[in-house]
Amino acid sequence: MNEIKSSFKENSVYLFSKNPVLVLGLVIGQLAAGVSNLQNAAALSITYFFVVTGVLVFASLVGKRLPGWLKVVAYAIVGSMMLVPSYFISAGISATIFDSVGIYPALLAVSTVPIVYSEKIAENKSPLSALINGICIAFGFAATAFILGAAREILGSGSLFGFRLSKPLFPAAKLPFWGFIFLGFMAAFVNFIKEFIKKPDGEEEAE
Amino acid sequence: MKEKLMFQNAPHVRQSESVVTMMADVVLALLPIYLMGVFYYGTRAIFLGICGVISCLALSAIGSLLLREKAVFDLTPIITGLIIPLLLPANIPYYVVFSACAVAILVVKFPFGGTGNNLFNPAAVGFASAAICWPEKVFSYPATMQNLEIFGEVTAKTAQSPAYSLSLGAVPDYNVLDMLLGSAPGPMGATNILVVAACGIFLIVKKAANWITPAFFLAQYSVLCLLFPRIGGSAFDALCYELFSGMIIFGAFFMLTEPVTSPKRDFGKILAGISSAIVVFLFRYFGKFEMGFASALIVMNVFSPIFDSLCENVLHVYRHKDSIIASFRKKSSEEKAEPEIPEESLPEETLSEDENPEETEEETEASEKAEELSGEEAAV
Amino acid sequence: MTFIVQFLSAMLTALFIENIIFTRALGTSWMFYLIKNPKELLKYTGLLMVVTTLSGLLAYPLRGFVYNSEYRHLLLPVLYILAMAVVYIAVYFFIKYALPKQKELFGLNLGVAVFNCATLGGLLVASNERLDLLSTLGYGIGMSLGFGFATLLLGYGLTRLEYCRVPKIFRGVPIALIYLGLLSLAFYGLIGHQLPT
Repeated sequence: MNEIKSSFKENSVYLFSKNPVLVLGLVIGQLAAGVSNLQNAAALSITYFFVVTGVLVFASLVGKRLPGWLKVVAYAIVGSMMLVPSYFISAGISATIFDSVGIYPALLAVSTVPIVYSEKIAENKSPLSALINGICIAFGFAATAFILGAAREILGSGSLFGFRLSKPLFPAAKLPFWGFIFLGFMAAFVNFIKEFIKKPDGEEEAE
Repeated sequence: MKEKLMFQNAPHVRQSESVVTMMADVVLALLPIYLMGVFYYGTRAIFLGICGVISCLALSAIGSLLLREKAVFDLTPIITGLIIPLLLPANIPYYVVFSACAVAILVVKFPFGGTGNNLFNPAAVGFASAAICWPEKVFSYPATMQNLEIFGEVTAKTAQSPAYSLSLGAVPDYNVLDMLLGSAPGPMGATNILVVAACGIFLIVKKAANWITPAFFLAQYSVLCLLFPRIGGSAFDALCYELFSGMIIFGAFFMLTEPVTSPKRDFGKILAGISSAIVVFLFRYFGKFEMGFASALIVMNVFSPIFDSLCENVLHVYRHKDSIIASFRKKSSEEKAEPEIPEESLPEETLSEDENPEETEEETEASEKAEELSGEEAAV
Repeated sequence: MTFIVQFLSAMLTALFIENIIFTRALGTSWMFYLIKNPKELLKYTGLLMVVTTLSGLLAYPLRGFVYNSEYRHLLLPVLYILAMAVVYIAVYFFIKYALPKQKELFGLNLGVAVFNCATLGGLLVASNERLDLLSTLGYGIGMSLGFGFATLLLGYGLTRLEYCRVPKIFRGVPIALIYLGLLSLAFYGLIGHQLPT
């Protein structure tokens, strides 16, 4: 229990101060182009959760026993296998979810965390720590995706999760370039908050 | 020290005029265009300008407040606020103008550091953003000589712009004289070709804008239009239609010459003018929107510093050509001279070279081991 | 001649009009890494080209079975990832035994060059648009070149940003994203329609 608590406390940085999207600059493309409404955000978040936790747990269990050249292959194949449960769960969101969200969920299987960082993050950890690590990273991603999706859906379509609220205020909000700009401003807001809560003597407050 | 050092934003001009007088000249040059807008569309034209200016000033103040910076009053928000409505039709709703100004100030200007630090033309980006958001409003032009309602819904008779006709390969319904005098529908400030050109020349005479970029831009664009006309008939007419439609003339004088985003070197300005013409030509001929000028300008803003550095490299080579040639000759003569040295009198450097292969082998072995141990971490 | 035109048309479309970074935002994470390490850009672009071409060739005969399946959204990515795995293993052993001196191609670069969003995304887009083999190959090559072009363009812009007085909260990731968004806006003016996802 203590291990779980300490692991969650250690990995809670991924929610804000080390947010994988806004601070580390990962998985930007899928969010900028794929998350134009809340349904897409939900689908991508579910997929990322399964892919990241699955690959990190696999890396912690088996990673050290694999030769270097085979690790990347194994992680990519495990990531693609984790698309299966996420596909069936995402299909429950909407019948046309895959027409809306397109190729972006599949691309999460070969994103930076599973392919590049899983070895560094998880190989020397227990499966439970790796799982918690993956959960926290996925939650950081999901938080960003939901905020971005909600903002773009309200502005671009005047709706929320498919329920009409008003006239679209800014139709271009759904387009990829506005995704980049929104993410840029969200990242700037995170920096602003980090500066705001910094102690006067320069030390950062614990998250 | 503070009294001796002067800190100013770009452009850093070395002439009797200051940055403020330059901007004032631009504002002065835009006013006659607004007066022509009033002539053709009624007082709504003035109100659109006022809306743009107030939006940009207010948003600049908000931006300074959010960034906790001291608000510096300069004329750049006024210029942006005046230019944006001129790129839009006279029947455009006020919220579209506000939205374009918001993008121009809050997205293009402030995140990059404010006046003098923007990498893209704010008016071009604001217009492009509005055009993508509301294409049915931005590309729907009222016929001229209508007194449009100042507030509320505008019930205006709309007409097809010459630029749209050209994009379909059709000859516009207006003759060249109509387009010169501004009788053809189009963006509020870009159709009065005579007035726009006169104001542009005023800017050049007052040295608020350079003449090189517009001259080379218009020349290159004319050549391309003559080589690849979109409509049949007289080559002169086809050229006039291409030049006088859209925002080619207005953009050449008021947007391409924006001092912050345009090149600083004369040769760079020439390159910018020529390449801008090619990109604008491609965007107009193959692009989706009939007004590809704004998008093309945004792309060219990226290349402006490349033109400057290219110019500086060329100038560097030209100014130091003698020393560069001399050093090149020296190197090649040293390379030729090496094989003539007899083996008996080898200098010490060659003796130490014999020791190097062992060190090199050790180094490569060590690096191989390090690579095996560190693996991907080194790259990450 | 028709084949050349078809190939070039697909290549130029992927390079400019449907640039993988500006229009679909794929491969941006690795692009930011390459901006900081520009010497690896040429090598990476070349690897990307080889891998996309080989993966496309390998998976092309099999994708016909998947198109009409109810689960094509799931099966196509899995099929392509398996093809990329085969390509990775083949390229790895080829470099190891045929080009042993090219040691720098081992490790992260080769893995990332094979398994990345740009490669998989390009292949998925080509299959969604039902491009034939020649167009798929042209699209893959154009996509790789477009990735390199976008990285160069963005790298130059971000270098120039160092001379601007960017506010503290915008430095780093935020301003890079805004810059990328504005460039993407410019290219959107060329295509002017929503791309199929």
